[in-house]
Amino acid sequence: MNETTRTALRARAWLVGITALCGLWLVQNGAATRTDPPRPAAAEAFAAGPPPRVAATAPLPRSEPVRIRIPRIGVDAPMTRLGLRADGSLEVPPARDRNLAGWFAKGTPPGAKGTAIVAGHVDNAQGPSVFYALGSLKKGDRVEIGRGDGRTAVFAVDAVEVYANDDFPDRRVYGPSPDASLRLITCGGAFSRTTGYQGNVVAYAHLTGVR
Amino acid sequence: MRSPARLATGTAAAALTAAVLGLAATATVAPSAYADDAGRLEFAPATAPPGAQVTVNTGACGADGSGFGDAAELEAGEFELEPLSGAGATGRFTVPAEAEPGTYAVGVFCDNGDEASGEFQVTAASSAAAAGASSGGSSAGSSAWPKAPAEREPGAGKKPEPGTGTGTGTEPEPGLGVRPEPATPSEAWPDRPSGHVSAGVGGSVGPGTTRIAAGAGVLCAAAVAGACLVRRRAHGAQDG
Repeated sequence: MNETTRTALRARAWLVGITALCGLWLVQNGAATRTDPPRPAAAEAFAAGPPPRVAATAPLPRSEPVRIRIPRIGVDAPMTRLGLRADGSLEVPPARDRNLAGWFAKGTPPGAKGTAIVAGHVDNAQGPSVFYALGSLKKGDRVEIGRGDGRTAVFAVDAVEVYANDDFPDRRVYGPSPDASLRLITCGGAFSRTTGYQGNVVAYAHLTGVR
Repeated sequence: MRSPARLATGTAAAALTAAVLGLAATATVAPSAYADDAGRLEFAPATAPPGAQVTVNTGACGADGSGFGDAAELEAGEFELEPLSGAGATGRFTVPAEAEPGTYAVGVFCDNGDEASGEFQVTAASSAAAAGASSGGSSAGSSAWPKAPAEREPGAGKKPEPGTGTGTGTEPEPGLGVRPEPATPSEAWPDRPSGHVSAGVGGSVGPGTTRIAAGAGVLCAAAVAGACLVRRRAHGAQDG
């Protein structure tokens, strides 16, 4: 083997060595970090300023929601009915179905006059669920709800906020509203293995169109 | 470098979007398509001084007779509606002690989508005796309200309730239920949720799997390259 070849081989050996080290570092670093579901940015809170003005549309007659789509975060899921638990809190859809959202059926159906309440899991034991990316919604984002009467109610997001469980603003989230409003709720906030999620992410939206 | 065809298509699409957005922006909220459906609210008493309890009746809300009233303009907050025998709903609010005399809009939003509104007049505190005594058509006697609670409140000649809204608590009426201001939202809204939602267990919280996968890929590539090198070296040693 001549000198040039030996040098070339040595250079390549170094390259391989460095690459291997990089790979090792990536694996180690990845194992050491933790990824949580996205949390709403401060700019998306009510306090950060008004959302881009999207005119409200007159409310629709009541009709059962059957599908929810949020194009920007890739949500496209069927909807089920939710009631109340014994403690008065909102039921959630069965956790094992990772692509299912629910609406509070004793309340206002989405698109009708009043406050429609929709909830979905952020994750289950196996991984991310239907509302995993809810915290990454931004003001002005579009939410579409397909209804049993064939129409699609289109909403625009007004704000996305995160609340601690023990300081949950019931009236603001569940209280009545004079036009067709929507609330999307999931778990969020701080997480620890022992206590689970410490809060809820709530996205507020109002009806802006019908298709 | 964009082809002219792509540029043209892009511009056309942009123009179309702008036109649609422009149209959407000019579309205002439909002028109360519900104007015909909107009922009237009737107050008993029709006017009252601060501290008085006012009953609100409406023919809206259908047989269900459920919903919420909004007296926020008076700073009296929201109040619950209960069914009236026959059709309609009734509710109650207390004029806050600090309310200024004037006319305020009060609205009612029914669970069935109906709405109704009315104007309530707050009188000055000293004119308590004059107020409420069937002034005007809107409080035209209890004949207008079947089984209306108006019987209980013959105008503001009665001692005004404490402004803090602790409720009467003295004359229980079956069906209507005299009850104090709700302490928790679930009392005011028996059919609405309260509290946070339990919708996650943390199964999505985990290590940086993307980085781990990338690292593993890089390691594999390095391993393969290393193997090739060793082979090459062996060959080179043989030939050289």
